[in-house]
Amino acid sequence: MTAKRLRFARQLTQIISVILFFVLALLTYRGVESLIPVDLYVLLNPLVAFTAMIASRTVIAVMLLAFAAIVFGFVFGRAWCGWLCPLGAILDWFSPREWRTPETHRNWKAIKYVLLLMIIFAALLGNLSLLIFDPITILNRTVIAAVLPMFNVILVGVESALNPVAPMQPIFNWIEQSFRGTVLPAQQTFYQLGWMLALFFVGLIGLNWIVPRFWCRYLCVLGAVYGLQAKISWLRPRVVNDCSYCAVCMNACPTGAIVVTKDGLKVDPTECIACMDCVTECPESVIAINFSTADRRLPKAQSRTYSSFNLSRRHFIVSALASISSVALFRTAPSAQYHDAWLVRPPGAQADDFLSKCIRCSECIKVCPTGGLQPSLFESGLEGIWSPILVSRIGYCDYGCNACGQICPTDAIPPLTLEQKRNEIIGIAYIDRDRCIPWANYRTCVVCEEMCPVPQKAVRLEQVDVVTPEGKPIRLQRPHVVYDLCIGCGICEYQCPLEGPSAIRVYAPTKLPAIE
Amino acid sequence: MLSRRDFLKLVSSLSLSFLSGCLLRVENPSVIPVMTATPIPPASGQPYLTIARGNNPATITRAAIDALGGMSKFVQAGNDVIIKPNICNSYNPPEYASTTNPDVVAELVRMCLEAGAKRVRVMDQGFSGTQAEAYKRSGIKDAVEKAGGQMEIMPSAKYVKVDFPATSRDLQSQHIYQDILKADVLINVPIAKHHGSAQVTLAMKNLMGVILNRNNIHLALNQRIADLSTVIKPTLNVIDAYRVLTSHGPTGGSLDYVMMGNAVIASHDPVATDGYATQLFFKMKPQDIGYIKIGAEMGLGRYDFDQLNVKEVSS
Repeated sequence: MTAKRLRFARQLTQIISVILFFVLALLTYRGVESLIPVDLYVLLNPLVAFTAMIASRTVIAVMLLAFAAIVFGFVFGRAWCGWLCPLGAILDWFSPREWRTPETHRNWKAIKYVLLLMIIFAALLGNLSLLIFDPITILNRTVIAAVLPMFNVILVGVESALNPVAPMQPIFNWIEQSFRGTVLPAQQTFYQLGWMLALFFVGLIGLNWIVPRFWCRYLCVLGAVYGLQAKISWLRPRVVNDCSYCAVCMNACPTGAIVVTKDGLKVDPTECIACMDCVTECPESVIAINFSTADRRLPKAQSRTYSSFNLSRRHFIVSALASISSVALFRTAPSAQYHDAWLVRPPGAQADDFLSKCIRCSECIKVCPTGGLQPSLFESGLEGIWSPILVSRIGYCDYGCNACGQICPTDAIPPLTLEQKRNEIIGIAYIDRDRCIPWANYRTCVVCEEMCPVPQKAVRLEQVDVVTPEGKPIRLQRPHVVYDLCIGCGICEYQCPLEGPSAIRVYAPTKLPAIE
Repeated sequence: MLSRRDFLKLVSSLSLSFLSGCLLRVENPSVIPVMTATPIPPASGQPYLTIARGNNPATITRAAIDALGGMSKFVQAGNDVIIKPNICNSYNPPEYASTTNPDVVAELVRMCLEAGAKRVRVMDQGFSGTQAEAYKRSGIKDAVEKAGGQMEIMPSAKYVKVDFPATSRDLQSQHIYQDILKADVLINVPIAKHHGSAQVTLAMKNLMGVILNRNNIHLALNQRIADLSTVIKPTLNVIDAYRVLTSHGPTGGSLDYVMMGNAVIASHDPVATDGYATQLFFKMKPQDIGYIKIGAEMGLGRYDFDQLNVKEVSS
């Protein structure tokens, strides 16, 4: 195959990969039957797979799929980045139209390796916080908590506005009847600081204007994994002819993997994403990207490959110290001393080891049918940023659903059966009697009791004859939470008709002192 | 200097964003409450309310409607019919009596189609879980689709703001699902259940499933349930009392709370069906239930059963 065809094949593969990524994200709903696992991109991610196993000290069977990615890396080097990575593809598409920026920040290339080492050291210490910088979790999170909800606002807005237009109705009807509650959220979802995720993502794209694929060159930790493997990978760029140093290839390279030195042209396999641009552009067929092993036998002095990064003792020491001190610093956050009242985790997720298993991939957040699972901010400190929490005012844990435990790729949320999940204490509801309508305003309400799905009712009614502040005697029902029955599903908080915060709120589970 | 091309670009992009801004904050204008469907009272000599007893939910459903004058009295050839059961949650299968019996709903679908209905849709907006999931769990989706009806998801974009008439004492306006207002025939099919604050939930309360913001109703529950009936007037109300949820409603969750009622009650008058079911299954008088009492006071129906032609059949 000619280089041009290979380049075309690559561009096509990128398009397919991005489409597949979005299709799988859309297909991530409760009870989906999909031939391809909907969390494929997470499962095939060697970085999250192995660090999650290290941090949690468990073997996560399904994530052993990531061995395939390791093999891929040793064969194809960083071809993942140029051909398959959906984030890389999006960065390619949103680039300045004309760029001729030779490498200017060569030293920065080490950043991604230091970050990678930090992730590995932190994982050894049981921490996974830095996985928020894994490209797949970034894309997942942005798509799930920003792009798709935004899309739904637009869709519903257009539908509402054009609802009076009769010819449009069958189209909208078809969309709603076919996709609402599955591919489209049952109700609009609302995520904390979705705009912040979107801005971060736009920022990543914006970095392309400093230098193309800025993210991939300097920051991408998954790229660093493949970069290290590329040092010995089979597929790699090779200088196969002498040339006239026109530097067309150097300017064409989107990752700065080609340099012209006093010894001639040199290529860097750890940066080469096998995009084929240099091979296509070179007027003299000097560079090839292939599986040939001929040049390996060259003596080192004549080698036309170089590596912009070599792991040194300094890198090890710096990243180890950075990891140890960051993890130690996390342990000085207030959240490490006492349990935040609003740190309500998904059902079955045990607080003590949850952060050592959660890879911040946001799959649970997408699959939650009520939109109650949210990427958290600082409820568990900076350490737990973007890990999932249940915010019952935004959405409750449906009594008939156990989807989050089924989707979680690392079992950070355990795969409970529906029966098990129904008995799992997620949190405890408390009534604010100063705000609760029957308590504070002497009016009927008790939506919370009506909604409580626990068969014995964890919210119970007390019928009382009281005198209102105006002096009128009335008979009234007031709600009470039965501590031993409440599972903290939060439907009471969600449905409370009070404006603003609910008068019944779900707190993180606490243990009452035992009665002597 | 701004070139003409740039100027046109600027103007068009500004107007496009203005237009899309309008799209995103659109509020449909309120409409005068005109429901196409309307209750069909009995002709002279026909019973006002019927109750059918027996062990087969489908058979007693048919018997109750037949005793009332047959489905052709309510559904004309070519009619667009909506059946509104109670599918309030996505976690209990039908044995727990928290959702309407699927056989009752399916039999109604069949009878509507036999009477020549053009289309029979079944829908309800519950309070827990997604509609799609609730339709499945309740067994209603399966039964209805087998009978030739369609389940419809009720997207939020299709609720229209409706101003309530002067006869409504408390509610001023509500967002109501557009198709409920437009259908030729609306059949309201609640299941008889206990309810913590309202004591019982029957036909009148079942109408809360077609409005968008149901929780505000609870702030003056009895009055507001009655007010709903000033706008939403089903052609026919059919209470499924094959199983009755006797306590811990409206959700239930234990078979201990379920009593076999083995009955179906039908009438065009929701106050009558609710009053009758209350005295039959919940050992209370109709006037003990706030919204039934208010409903009768407001002239929305009656429960003076000694004055009414009530027909009991068994099958």
